[in-house]
Amino acid sequence: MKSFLGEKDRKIVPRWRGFRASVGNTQNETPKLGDRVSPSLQSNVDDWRREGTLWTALDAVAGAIVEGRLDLVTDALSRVQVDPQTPPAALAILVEHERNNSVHEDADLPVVARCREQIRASRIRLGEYPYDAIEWIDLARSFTTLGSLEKARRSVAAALTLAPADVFVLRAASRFYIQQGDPDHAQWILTKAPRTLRNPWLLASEIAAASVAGRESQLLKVAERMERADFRDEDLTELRAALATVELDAGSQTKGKRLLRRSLNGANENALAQIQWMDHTRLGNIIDISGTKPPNRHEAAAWKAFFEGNWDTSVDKSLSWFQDQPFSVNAGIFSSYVLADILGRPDDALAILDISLRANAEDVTLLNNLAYSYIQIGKIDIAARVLESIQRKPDNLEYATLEATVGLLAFRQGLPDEGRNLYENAIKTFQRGGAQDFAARAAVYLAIEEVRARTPNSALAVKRAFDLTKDNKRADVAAKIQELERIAKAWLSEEGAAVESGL
Amino acid sequence: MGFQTGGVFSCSYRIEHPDGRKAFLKAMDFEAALSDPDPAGKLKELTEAFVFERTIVELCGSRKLSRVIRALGSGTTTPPGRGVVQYLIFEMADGDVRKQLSQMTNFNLLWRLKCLHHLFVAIQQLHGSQIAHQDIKPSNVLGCGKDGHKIADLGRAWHAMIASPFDGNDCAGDTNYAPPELLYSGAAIAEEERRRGADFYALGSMIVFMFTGLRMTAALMSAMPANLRRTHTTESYANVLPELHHAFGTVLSQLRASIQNDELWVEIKALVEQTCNPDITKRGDKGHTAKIGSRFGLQRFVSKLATLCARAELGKFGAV
Repeated sequence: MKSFLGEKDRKIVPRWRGFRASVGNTQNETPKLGDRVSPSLQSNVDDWRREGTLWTALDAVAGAIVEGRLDLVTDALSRVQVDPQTPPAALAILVEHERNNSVHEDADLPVVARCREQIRASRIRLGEYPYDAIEWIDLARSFTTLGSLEKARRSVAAALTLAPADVFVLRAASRFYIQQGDPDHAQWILTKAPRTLRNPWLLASEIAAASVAGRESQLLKVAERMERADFRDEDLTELRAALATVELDAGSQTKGKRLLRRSLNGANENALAQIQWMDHTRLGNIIDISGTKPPNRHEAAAWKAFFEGNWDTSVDKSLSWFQDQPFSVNAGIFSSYVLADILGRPDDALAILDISLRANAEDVTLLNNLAYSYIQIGKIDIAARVLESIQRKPDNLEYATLEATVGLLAFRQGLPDEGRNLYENAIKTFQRGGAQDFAARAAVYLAIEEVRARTPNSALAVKRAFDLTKDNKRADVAAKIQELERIAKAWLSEEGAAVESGL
Repeated sequence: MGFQTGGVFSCSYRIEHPDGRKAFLKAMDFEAALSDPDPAGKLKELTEAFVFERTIVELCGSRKLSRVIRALGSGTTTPPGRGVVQYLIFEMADGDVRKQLSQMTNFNLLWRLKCLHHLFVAIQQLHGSQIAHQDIKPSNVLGCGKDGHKIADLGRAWHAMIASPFDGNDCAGDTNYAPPELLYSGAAIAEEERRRGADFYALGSMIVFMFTGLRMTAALMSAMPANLRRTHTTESYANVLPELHHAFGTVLSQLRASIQNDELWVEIKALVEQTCNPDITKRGDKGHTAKIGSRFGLQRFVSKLATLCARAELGKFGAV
């Protein structure tokens, strides 16, 4: 069976995007200088109007760029853009200026090709000017996505040495360390930066890192004061969502609910995904998020469609989420699960897993999904090798999930008795661990395999699957139940037999 | 002919002596100050500014600074229908570098390098006289025929020993050409370092201008995300410095694309990095510290540019 872990404990860890795509979400966006035109710019403009030469046009355009008033020099700008004598570098600078007015990243290339191109470009830039911490972080992101983790680690270390207090660098670095399973270090770099005590973005990241490490942040009091301080809502949204998560995890519904609602004001996509997640898993969908539409809200949209059973939308959004955060284990798990299991597109799932496993080579859930996808396309031997390669830890839910997938493998290998035993063990482990959802889903998968194999246990397995899932409201379980019904009906019509399950 | 240049309270004229010698006259329009909301304060400021500039240009003249536009005289006059006007007369130039560049049809590397060399010498001469120019920009770099290029407009200069009405301003010169430490808030820098550091930055900015047509500040702001440009953020200099380094890296890439010759690029890059690094503490040449007690010595840069001129003259850089 497919696993789908990590659903219970979403934390608001920082997103890690390329620099250009990131800063738009974390800084002031309102011009502070107003419409005043300085005597300096006026003098540049006067020179251009009087002399009308290319070089006075360039000077006027340059002055207007510095003051953010290109609207005043549209004629000079046109001259610069069309004059054949314009130095090519001036045109390149103007293009760069325009690109930086947008926060969107170029995403035309496939993930791997894009990362390779970015690594090539970053290496050239850093070869010319190695003191650029932000470029080191962008390089680390590409290395991480491609699975060159040691190189990524060195790049992150270089960035932290050059800019140990920069918001973008610290948040990206903490995300990297969380990604690498070292939330303690992620928290440490944030705790030791004095700026964390004054910056809500850093404080939110520190609280999230502490949560991932399984402890409570020592800075919660500071965070509570900051949450009420004079910052823009846009700058507080992640901090409020992080505090809400802590409160709800601790069982404080009232406070958590209030913070979640406050977090919705000015929410970015990460906060929105957290609000939606906490609302769905802890509060029972009481917060209306329909009016909040930040850019890049792929994860929230993917989950929303998932909860509603809108699978085509869900997979589309999850693929956008994956494009945005290709190193994210959760994006990889989500996409591959919906593709392979719900939509029956294991080949597409394998393409996602090929990338996702580069950054997360030892992630048990991704490996499990890989084996599942191979089983679905009939590559049983490869699936067996994948499953054998996974380090097992008995008596935990991941192990039980793996055991179920090995059970599936056994069924497909023509060993139904062995498969049944493995599924039964998994179901028992889930039930012992209080994971009734997982137990029910395992029962559905077992029933599907029993029917497919036309074993004598089919009717019993189908009945138990229906019994265990009758109160289950999950759309993905409902989808598997529909699949089971379809298979069972085909079997019944084949056999012309009645089954006690009432079908 | 009269036209206003830069300052709102001064006018510039081209004048001609009866014997045919031409000169440039800069007149202070004290009458315009009367329309200021604080006329007395403005008059005081203008008078101080005029006296300061006259003192500085006379000092430059007495020290025979060959790369600084020479003052030929000063005085007062009372034009018909006007009050008293004070003026400074300077040697006549052909025009500023923008005008000269506009008259060129091909990229002339040697001309550019020579212009930069003369400019660096000019600032070296000023620094040697304890003067920081504070307003180095294309419109103040003048072509003077066979004498090459000279720096003009010392109205915003800073002198270590002579008070100027602009001493209280962090950025005495044109803010649109100013270095990032003066554009963003909160940079605590000792005064002399700030003044000389700003001159260094402006020199590097002129290198960038010669190859790209745009000043460094505009190139840096273009390479910054819109919401971190100085018009859009209240973040301090220290907080945006990593982003400025990133922008600087982008500008270097753009500059690299316009300089194909590898040997020339290595030299120009080193000059730009050392003169207009966004981090003022990385500006200058540490090798100078032991010799002159400051990293803002220009001798090595001047020598480097002289060498580049010589190599360009020999055609060592081929097509750029």
